[in-house]
Amino acid sequence: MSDEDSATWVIVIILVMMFLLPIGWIFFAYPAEPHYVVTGEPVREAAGAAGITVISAGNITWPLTGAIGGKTYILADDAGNTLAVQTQTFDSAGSRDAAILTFSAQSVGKGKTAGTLVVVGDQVIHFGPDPGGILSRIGTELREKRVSP
Amino acid sequence: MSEAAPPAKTSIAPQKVLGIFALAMINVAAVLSIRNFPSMAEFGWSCIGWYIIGTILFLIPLSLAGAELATMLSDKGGGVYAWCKEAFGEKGGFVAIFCEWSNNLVWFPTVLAFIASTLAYALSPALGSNSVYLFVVMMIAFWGTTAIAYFGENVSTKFQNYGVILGSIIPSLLIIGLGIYWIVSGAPIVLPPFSPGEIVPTFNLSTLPFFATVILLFAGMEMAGFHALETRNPGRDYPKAMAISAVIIFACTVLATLAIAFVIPADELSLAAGVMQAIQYFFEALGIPGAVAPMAVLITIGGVVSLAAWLIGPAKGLGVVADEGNLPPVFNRTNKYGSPVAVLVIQALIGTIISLLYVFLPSVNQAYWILSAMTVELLCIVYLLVFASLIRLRYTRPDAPRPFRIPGGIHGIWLIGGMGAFGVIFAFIVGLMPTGDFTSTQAISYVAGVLFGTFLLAVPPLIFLKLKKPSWVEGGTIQEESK
Repeated sequence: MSDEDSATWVIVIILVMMFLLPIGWIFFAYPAEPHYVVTGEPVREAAGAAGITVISAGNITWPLTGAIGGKTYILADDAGNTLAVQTQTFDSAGSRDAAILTFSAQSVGKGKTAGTLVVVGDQVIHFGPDPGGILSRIGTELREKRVSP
Repeated sequence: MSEAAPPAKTSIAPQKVLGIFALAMINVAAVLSIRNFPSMAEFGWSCIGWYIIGTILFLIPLSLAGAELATMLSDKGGGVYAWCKEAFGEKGGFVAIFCEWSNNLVWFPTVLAFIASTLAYALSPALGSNSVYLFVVMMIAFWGTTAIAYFGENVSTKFQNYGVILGSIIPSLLIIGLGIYWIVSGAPIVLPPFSPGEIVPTFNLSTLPFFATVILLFAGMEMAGFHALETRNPGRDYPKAMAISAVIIFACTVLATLAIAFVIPADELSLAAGVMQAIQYFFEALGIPGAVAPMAVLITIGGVVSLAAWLIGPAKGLGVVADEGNLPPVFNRTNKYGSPVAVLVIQALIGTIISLLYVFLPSVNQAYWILSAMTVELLCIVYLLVFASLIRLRYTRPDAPRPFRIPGGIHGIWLIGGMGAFGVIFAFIVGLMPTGDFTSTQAISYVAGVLFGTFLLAVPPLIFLKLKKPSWVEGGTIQEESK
């Protein structure tokens, strides 16, 4: 192999590595949330602990494989900001992960998704646009539920 | 591998097949997406405010910049590469086109997953959670689009022209028409009563990260510029194509988003189960549930056409870079149709590997956030270089013929270029802000990861230029037929 060919292949390898390094690192640096049964209503409990009011609640089942039901909530803070939240329980880690992938593919243009997804055990929690910053107030409570399965 | 001298440079005369309509449709294909409408409808009346921000700080500046630069440099291929190279030399041009190309490779799995999951809605929604189905459909769409690009400008343009009408414009008009029918039939509009204050978006730490997404909502308006050498009359056609595409994109986007917002209550507009969930709700509310599956097929076509626009344009730009000897000879293969076949194949191979990771590794919410943030940051680098080139060229080449010139002289150029540059710099900064599910430690890791990933995906041009050999230039383009 000539020096020319060697240089070419070095460059091709560099190019491939430059894509795979950051992307591979991202996938391995953030381990998947374990799938475990979550009892109670994490959103309602987290909202209560953060002083956020649940002004309405209902039931919903997403049209996705493995979705076995969940809740819809409208949360409100003292300033009158509201936040629409939906939760959904999944019967397996595979079906839950497929739901996360589906949501992640709904980005706006080439940017991010409009809402936010949080995963707690077997539940996927979808937060709509949050101009009042309610998610940041209940996020800590939700996180505590996630780290102690 | 042979150690013989590289084949003689072969010039391939581009076919002049593109007119105003074709150029406009290339931009519309890249930018207009039904996927955006339900997401933006969640914001209610304030979606208008977000769209106005995106239009003032990005759509208008980029359309004007593209029109001026494309007509000024219409004899040069490569789109943003040619524009930025003219202003900042080889390094600037190469970094711009490479960032445009590399952000695509990170973004392709997202749009491919969207295509597969939307098609699943038409076939059997259960397929949407089947990794094997997802991957197979993603690869058919990806390699199929690459194959279309292989057959050159004539074929890919026809595909995009028909596809964008079928998959983007007709569905948009259908949604708008049904929204008008909803109002005319006296059905209740679920949005609160309109007042001017309702359209003003809320700006705070929670909404700022979304600003970057809104700014780049209209990313892709430069896409027609990659086809300069195939355009019949660039000086006349580009400005008109830019204007037509900008009007179509803005009108369809705003009106279709409002149509959805009129019909579906915001708290019912959960997109967790996909855009098709909102579309299904929309058609069921209108009493035509049978339209959901055909609509899913049309939206899938729109997704493929959008993929094609982003897949072909930057690859052509990188092909010009290879043609000029800034990439090793392995990148220089061009086929008899004038397509940069080596770049297309390398792009498809890397995209396939990333898609494999995307589909088969356990889905991690934060990982997707970082990948989408990297896409945003890389795009911001591209557009910052474009706006900076626009301004700089008015100083370094003030007398160069510009069939379309942004009015207002040097003040006009600073106003337009400055607005665009401000928008993308601000988007770059807020694009680094994590949202949602991050602890403070994870947030630091997130920002570092996004910056490091962006750096790695932007820096290869500097390495290639460092390693560049004279033989790369002598080789030039190797046409497959001549080997």
